[in-house]
Parts: sequence; structure tokens; C-alpha cells
Amino acid sequence: MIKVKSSFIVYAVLLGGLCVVVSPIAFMFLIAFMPRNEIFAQLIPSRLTLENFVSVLLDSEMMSAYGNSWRVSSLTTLLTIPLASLGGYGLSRYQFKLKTGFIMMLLITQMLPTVLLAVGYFPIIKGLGLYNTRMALVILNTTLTLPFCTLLLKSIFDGVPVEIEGAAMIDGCSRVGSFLRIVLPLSWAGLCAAAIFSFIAAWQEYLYALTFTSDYNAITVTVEITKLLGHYVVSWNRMMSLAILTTMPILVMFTAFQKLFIKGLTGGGLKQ
Amino acid sequence: MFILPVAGYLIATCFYPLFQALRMGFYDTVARQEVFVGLEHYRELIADSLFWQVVAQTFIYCVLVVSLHLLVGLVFALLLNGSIKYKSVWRGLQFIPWLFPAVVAASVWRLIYQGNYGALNVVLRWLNLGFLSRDWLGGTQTALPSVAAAAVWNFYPFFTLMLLAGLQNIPHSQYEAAKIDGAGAWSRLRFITLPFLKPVIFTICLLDMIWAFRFFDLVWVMTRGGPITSSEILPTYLYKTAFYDFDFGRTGAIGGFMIIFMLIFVIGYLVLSSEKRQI
Repeated sequence: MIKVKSSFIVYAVLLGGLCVVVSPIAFMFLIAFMPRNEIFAQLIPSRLTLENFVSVLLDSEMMSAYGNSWRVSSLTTLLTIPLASLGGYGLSRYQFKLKTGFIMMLLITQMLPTVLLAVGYFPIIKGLGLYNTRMALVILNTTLTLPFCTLLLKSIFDGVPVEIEGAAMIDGCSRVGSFLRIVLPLSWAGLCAAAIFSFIAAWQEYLYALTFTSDYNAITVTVEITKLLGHYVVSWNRMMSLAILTTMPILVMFTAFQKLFIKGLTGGGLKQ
Repeated sequence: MFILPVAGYLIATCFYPLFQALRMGFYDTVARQEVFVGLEHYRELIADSLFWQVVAQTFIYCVLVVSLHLLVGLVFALLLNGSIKYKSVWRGLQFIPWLFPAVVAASVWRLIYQGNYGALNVVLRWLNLGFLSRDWLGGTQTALPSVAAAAVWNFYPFFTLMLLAGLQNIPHSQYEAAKIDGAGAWSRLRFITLPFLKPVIFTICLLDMIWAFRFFDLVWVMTRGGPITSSEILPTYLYKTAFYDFDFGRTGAIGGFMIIFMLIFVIGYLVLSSEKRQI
């Protein structure tokens, strides 16, 4: 009897908690599928419609922001992964004097206040003529992803036995060759996790995009959403459609690689 | 040799700008000439009551967010660690908020808190609690706690994730021994689960404290620090001082204070964790 009761409480609390957690998401979808401006009248829509999504997809400004986000995030990933795998390999296989110092440096860079860094970047970005370019965002986003990915890949490479590399080197493979032909292919799962992490981190980034872009050459979708808030009459329906379109890539990627990602997160990276 | 690219990249793109930004705090720009003024900007800030109000709000915000993250994360982790049906479905669902970019979360919550037709007020009226409904982000009393609630929603799954991983490391034999000794559910939680989780809790709370302390997006999108200055926290204050007031000397000094506060967290953490190891 007691058993039944306690498990009932567990389910009740779980269900109640999840209702609270999921309701903002449900609300977001509801608004996005409502006919325009019906939100003012009631919560129950008279009909469901795709017109908000269509109007977002046909809006050239929003779509160019969306395209910028894709490009910036992919390029950030492409820049992060080679650098991080080199760094992770160095940390995993070599002993050197400044090793603790280097690890400390990686941990510290993850904690620095990004707002303060943005102030420091401003004259540099202007001086290099990179203001309002996607290149600037790629360079700055990489500073956010690189430390974490390096530590993550270090812990992944630690899992590849040194003996395999030793055998390859006896057969005449160089250090670089064994890194490229043996260690990297064996750690593809970890590389995927790092790539997804950096893509998601770059995709979510807001502060640098806000500070260093000014028009549709480089504005990303996160800034575009908040620009809609600045209008005198906020079109919530369109905004929620754009918000859904912004969240979708992350949701899809994460669900597809969930196991990999969680293993990487709880196993390495953070627990140094 | 392999680490040189990473080290070089980070020194060029993190430490050099950091140094530049902090350096501003010791200089004044007069007629395009930089003049060294020492600790003048720091002295001004210390004398400024608005600065201390912002500092206090930042700490209230951080403590609120971190403690609620821990509470919600722990409850979910304990529930999800038990034997329940469809575990992976529950886990997946509670995890979703974390996948929302902070900007998206902020705009959804802005709509929820909206005064006339926001979901929160509609629900309150529906429950006959209409007298509680208000413009949540527009009131000086409610703005900061409302933003904190959105931050809790957005990031608590990180705690669930780390705590679940921690729970799975607790040996089952401990619980069985305790059960044989007649320990109830509460004392098992109090004397086995929590002591085992303590190191994990300690670490993630510090990390979260630092993240909350420097996090700009959510407050900026939801309130811009307003109304008046009631939800201003250090990152937004710094941003406004730099990019609205163009007072870079003061900006550098605020940044200097942020770094000092963060160092205090980290040193406190190191002291506390080394004490525990000695016992």
C-alpha cells in the first residue's frame, strides 16, 4: 500500500513539474500557429495556420540573417575542430613544463566575462576592418568554443591506447601520420560531439553578434529576433515562428546525437 | 608543439583584448590623448551608490538563480534516478529547455510575462487570482525575480544532467546496508545521497555562479536592466557604460571589479575544497 502511494507521488510530482517546464514551449508553438494578432483576444485560436511561418520564410531580411547564422556556425566549427584536435592531442600525449599552466589558461578563458572582452575587441575589430563581417563573428565565436573542445578532445584521445600508435610508428608511421590516420579516425565519436557543441554554441551566440554587426551582411538570427522586439507593435506571431525556426536546428542535432553529446559532457571537458 | 596554435589563438583573441579592456580602467582620454589616472575610475565607482546597487542586484540574481537551479535539478535528478516507466521519455522532456538559445527563451518569457495578454496573467485570471496579474517585467519589484525565473527554466537541465551522472556513481550496496539498518527514505537521502553528491554539487554551483555572474543575453533581451535600474546587473551595466555612454575608463574599472569578484569565488572554492580534502 505504501509502495503504491509513494510511486504515485513520484509520478504526480514529475508530471506536474514537466507541465510547468513544457508549458512555455507549448505556448510558443500555439502563438506561432495562431492567425495574426488573435493573441490579443484569447488564448484559444479560432484556427491554426502556417501563415506566420510563410511570412517569415518569405522575408528576405530574416532569411539572410538565418543564412548568416548557418554560415557563421559552420565556419566556427570548421575553425575550432582542427585547432582543438591539435591542442587536445598535445595535452593527451606529451608531458611539458607549462602543461598545468596551459590547462589553467583553458579553464580561465571559459570564465572571462564576455561583455568585458567585447569592449576589448571593439577597437581591434574596427582597426582590422572586420566590423560587420561574418569573419569577425567566426573569430570571436571560436574563442568561446575552443577551450571546451580542446579539453573534451583531450579526454577523448586519452581513451585511445598509446600502444596502437606505438605499433604504427614501428611500422614506419610518423607522429603526425599516426595522429591523422589512427587517433583521429578512432575518435570520430568525440569529434562529432565537439563539432555539435561548437555549432550549437556559435548558433546561440548573441552578445558578439549584437556588438559587431550592423546590417544584413552579418546579422545573425539571434539578433534578428530581438530586433523584432524593438518595433512599436511587436508581431508576436511572426516572432514565435522565427523563434521556432531558430531552435529547430539545435533540437534536431541534439536529438540525433544525444548519447554522444551527454557522454562527452559528463565524462570529460568540464571535470578537469 | 601541438598546443601552440591553441595557445597562440587564445592569447591573441582572449588575453590581449582582456588586457586592453582592463588597461582602459587606468586611463582617461582627453583630446584623443590617453592620460594615466591610476585608480581614479575605481575610486569614482566605489563612491557611486548606483554601482553598489547594481552589485547587490547581481548577487541577489546569482544566488537566486543558482539555488533554484540546484533545487529543481536535484528534485528532477532524484525522481528520474528511481525506477519509473518510460524513463528516457521523461528525461528527454525535462531536458528540452536547455536546448533553447537564451535569446529565444528570453523572447518567449517576455510574451509570457506581458501585462495584458501574457500567458501568466491569463492563467492567473483563469484561476481567479486576477488581483496578482501585473506587467511582470514592467514593475521595479518584479522585474529581476521574473528574469531569474526565466533563467532557472532555461538552464536547470544542466544540473539534472550532472547530478544524474553523480547519482549513478553511488554504490548500490550503501543503500541496501542502510535499508537493513532501518533507515527511511529521508535519512537515506540525507546521509548517503547528499554526502556522495557534495563534490559534484559544489563544482557545478561554482560554475553556475560564474556563468550567471557574467551572463548578459537574458537580462538584456528581457528588460535591458530596467525599469529604471531595477534589474541592472554588472554585465548590462558594463555594456551600457561602454556602448551607450562611451565612458571607457569607467568601463575598464567595472570590468576590473567583475574580475575581482570572480577571483573571490574561485579562491573561495579552492580554499573550501582543499579544507575538505584535509578532513
